[in-house]
Amino acid sequence: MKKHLLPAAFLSLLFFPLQLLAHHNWLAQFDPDRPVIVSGTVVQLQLVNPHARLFVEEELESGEIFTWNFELAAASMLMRQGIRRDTLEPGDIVEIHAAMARNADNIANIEYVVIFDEDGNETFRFGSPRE
Amino acid sequence: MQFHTHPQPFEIVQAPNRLIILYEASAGVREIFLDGRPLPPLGDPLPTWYGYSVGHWEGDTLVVTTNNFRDDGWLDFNGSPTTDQLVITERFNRISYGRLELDITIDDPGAYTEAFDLRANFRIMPGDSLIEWVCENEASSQYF
Repeated sequence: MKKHLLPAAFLSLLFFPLQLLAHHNWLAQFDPDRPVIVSGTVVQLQLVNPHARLFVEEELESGEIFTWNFELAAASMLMRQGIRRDTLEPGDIVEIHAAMARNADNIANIEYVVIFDEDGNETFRFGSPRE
Repeated sequence: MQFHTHPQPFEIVQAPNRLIILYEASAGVREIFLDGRPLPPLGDPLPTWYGYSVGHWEGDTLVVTTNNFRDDGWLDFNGSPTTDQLVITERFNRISYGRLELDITIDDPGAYTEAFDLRANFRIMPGDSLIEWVCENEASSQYF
């Protein structure tokens, strides 16, 4: 009888859920049947909890600038993927794959982000687990 | 009772006669008493979000029973209700170095006609540590 979940007293270990779990009722806020792909430039990345935010400007066909307010996973979850405050900086060229919000036309939940250099070559991409 | 429904990890700290679980989500702290004390009567101490937990060992399985939950909790983020009659039994099995298996029994006659079971699986995160997680965006609170 070991009587320990851990090897010895006063030790500690971290465990991570294997299921895809939800922080809030995702389906109440976002519609997976309304995916959206947005190409634009980064205005600001906010690494905050419970969800990071990414503001992106998209140039519409009319020439008008449309500002998106994207939701990402929690800052802590993104940090574990290596995302830092300077991973995305103002002016960076990105392509966002996301699901639209049910109650706003400029809000969507990001599935993944692709970053390009000035020549249009992909330099990096990262995912944002749905929470 | 949303102990194990967050995507964020948790840390188990084992000390003599008690086990402490630190949940990254909302910086939650849960204390499980292993000193043989019984569960307290319902309503005393004051019901809380995490309830009052006592545990004992059955072989290599840690069995934890928890009562004294608040009357207005949610079982999950879909809003499945719980009442102050809720009693949760958790059976922690560390089935290998890297895996923790958790069998949970939900018994809440105030909300459900019979008790039911579910299983949650976790993997170890060697070399990692908790990251402060505080809800700082009120815009999201309507969906909790």
